[in-house]
Amino acid sequence: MDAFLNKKQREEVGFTYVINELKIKSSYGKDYLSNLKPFKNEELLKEEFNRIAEVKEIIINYPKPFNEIDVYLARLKNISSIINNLDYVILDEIEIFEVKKLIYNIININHSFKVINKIPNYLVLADYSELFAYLDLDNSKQPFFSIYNDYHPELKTKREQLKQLSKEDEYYQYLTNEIKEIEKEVKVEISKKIADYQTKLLDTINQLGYIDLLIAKSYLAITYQLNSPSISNEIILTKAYNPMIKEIVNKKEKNYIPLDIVIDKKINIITGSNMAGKSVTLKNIILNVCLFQYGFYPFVLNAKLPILDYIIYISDELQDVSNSLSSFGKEIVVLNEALSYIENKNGLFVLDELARGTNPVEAKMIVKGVCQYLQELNIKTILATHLDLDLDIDFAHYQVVGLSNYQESELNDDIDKIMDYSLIKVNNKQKVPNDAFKVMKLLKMNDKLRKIIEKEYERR
Amino acid sequence: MSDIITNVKKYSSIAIIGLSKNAGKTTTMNYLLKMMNYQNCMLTSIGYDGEETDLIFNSNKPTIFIKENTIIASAKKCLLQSNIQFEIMETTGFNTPLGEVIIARSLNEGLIELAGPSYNEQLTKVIDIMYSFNKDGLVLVDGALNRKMMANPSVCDGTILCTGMSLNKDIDKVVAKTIFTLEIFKSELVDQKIKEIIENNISNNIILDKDNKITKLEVDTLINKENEIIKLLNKNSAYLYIKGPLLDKLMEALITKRNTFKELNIVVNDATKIFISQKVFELLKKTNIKIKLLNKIEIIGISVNPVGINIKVDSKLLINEIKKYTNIPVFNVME
Repeated sequence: MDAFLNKKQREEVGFTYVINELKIKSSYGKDYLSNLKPFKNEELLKEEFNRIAEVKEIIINYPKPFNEIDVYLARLKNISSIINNLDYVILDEIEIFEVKKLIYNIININHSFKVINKIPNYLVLADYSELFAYLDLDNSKQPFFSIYNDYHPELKTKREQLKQLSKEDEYYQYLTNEIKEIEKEVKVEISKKIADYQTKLLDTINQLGYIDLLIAKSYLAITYQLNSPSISNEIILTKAYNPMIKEIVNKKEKNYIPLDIVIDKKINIITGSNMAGKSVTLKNIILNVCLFQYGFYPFVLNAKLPILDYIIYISDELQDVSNSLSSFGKEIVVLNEALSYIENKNGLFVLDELARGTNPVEAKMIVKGVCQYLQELNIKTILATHLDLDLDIDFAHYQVVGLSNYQESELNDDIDKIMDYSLIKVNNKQKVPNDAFKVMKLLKMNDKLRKIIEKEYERR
Repeated sequence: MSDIITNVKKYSSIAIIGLSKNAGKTTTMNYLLKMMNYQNCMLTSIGYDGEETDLIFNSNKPTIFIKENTIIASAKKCLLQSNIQFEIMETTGFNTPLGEVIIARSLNEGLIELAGPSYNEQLTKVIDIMYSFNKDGLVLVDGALNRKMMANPSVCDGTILCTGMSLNKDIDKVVAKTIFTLEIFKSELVDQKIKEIIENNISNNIILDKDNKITKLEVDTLINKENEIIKLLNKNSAYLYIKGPLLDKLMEALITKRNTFKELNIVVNDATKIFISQKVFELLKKTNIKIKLLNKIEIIGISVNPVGINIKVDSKLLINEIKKYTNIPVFNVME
């Protein structure tokens, strides 16, 4: 089980969308991103958020060096395989060139950063001027490489001798072979010299990947005007939004309503009628909590969030287990798997319409049971449902406003225009709104059928 | 002859293609280098076809003689096996069966084999990188007239066509084939607007109707799929874009069913994709089917080789025979 959502869930909640918005320049940055681990340590996470703030500030004050660095980063070719094998491989001319070009770019990046006043040390790359000089024997200050004459005392004389000979000369082949032998010796020597730098080079390419990602995170924070979150035991989101869903909503020229929520209880129930956006609300929370774990600024005006060991998200659309099971069966299998995973860990458990596939009477008992069970554990649960649960335990109850502010006679407009997606905290005994009938009207259900259903409502 | 050199200097990149093996591509390239005193010349090739030459003619692999200070783009193996001392200038990340394409400058003279990139985008990029090292340079590209090659000479601003007696023992047939090739290369370009639509769908074979509605053909190769294609054509069909080679079989099928459509333009990427016979080409002229190109290849010279397998004709005769039909300069680099 993935601690912070599987691939499909990351796509569903918009995490992948945010990752794709990052402008990573180098393949080292891409490698770093694909191996990214969630933060477990409060101090390190705080430090990461501070760095984003710091880099944001530097980018705004010094745009020019960052434009240059973007170019250098984009030019970097991934030569990890060469560097990883340095201790037992003799490099050929082209591989030596690749190493020289890498350090040429490293020197250039350091040079570009020099204009920045009080540059933070995590942006400063190691010094390679000695190695560069050794690989730049002709002093060209270019990344170009050749086995220059100065690498060996006999090279120059022998190469010049060869120039004087015609190909037919019997000595020609002999001399050619001799030169090849010397060049081989030189390559062994250069390879040894570079191998001395192996650990340092591995550290530097890791740092290059980190810097690339850090700059991309900072650009993202600038573009979306994101603020640094703080670390807390609760989940407090102010004006939180999901950029993927916001984009879809905005494309339809509709208004996207950001979310305000304080999750300070163990069990938190979100109720609301159909189409009121309960799932969208859950995805908003999950995305922003998840981004925080990986050291990204969440999409919020303000956020206080906890460091978690995992997020479990169980919803109808996302399960990827055996096809032979019904949707309810799948939920049970996944729930069971999750329960065995979460013991003694600190996490967030999100359940979207658990047991929706089964009959409401039984579903209600199942969901109540799950709430009681989870309450005993050291985890936060957010559960979206359209069932009236009558829970006896301590919990917080949020309701999506939905259509409750509208009388039936007012329901003539486009459903998306009048549906109120905002979340309000309500009394724990507050009933789930019966908005299904209103939704039917808005969606222009067949008149005859609607009247029959209306009679059923009246009879109750 | 000096005309051709003056002519060549007007271009920034020139491809050299051969109508057949041993048509004199390599000789022509070596000659051009020599005539330009090896100054400012940069070299690469489209793919690599040295091995085939080896097997068929048992002659030497096509190697090019270069002087000191020549920039080349060739596969890693070719560079490392050469006796020339190179300075590595850039690596491209483009792979060939002989390793990555590397851009390097020679520090002494000698022989080098060329094995360059196999795709147009790669070739364009390689030419750009070479230029970044010498803005006054002329890039010579050892080209290919080979249906397997994805890259083609249209990337270069001029092309020299090599032809000669290796094509056929009958001089009349050599002349006819050469002139027919020139005619194919003169096919019209497609309208800019249609070109853009096709280029946005370049990885598919497509049909465009009069209102520019696109139908993608859900097959990768069109060989032996003639009937399926014809079923998709109707009175409104205006363009049929074929991404691969254009062969007689499809054209014959289209000619038979030419009443299915009003006027049909067959579009191919460039003239090197056209492999139809002269007979079919002549027949097309009398129908409502036209061949059009996305990219033009401009032939700026014709290099002839009067020597073939067990045959040698008078060079002047061959040149004059071809000159009867074209104004493009015709020459023999061995004279």
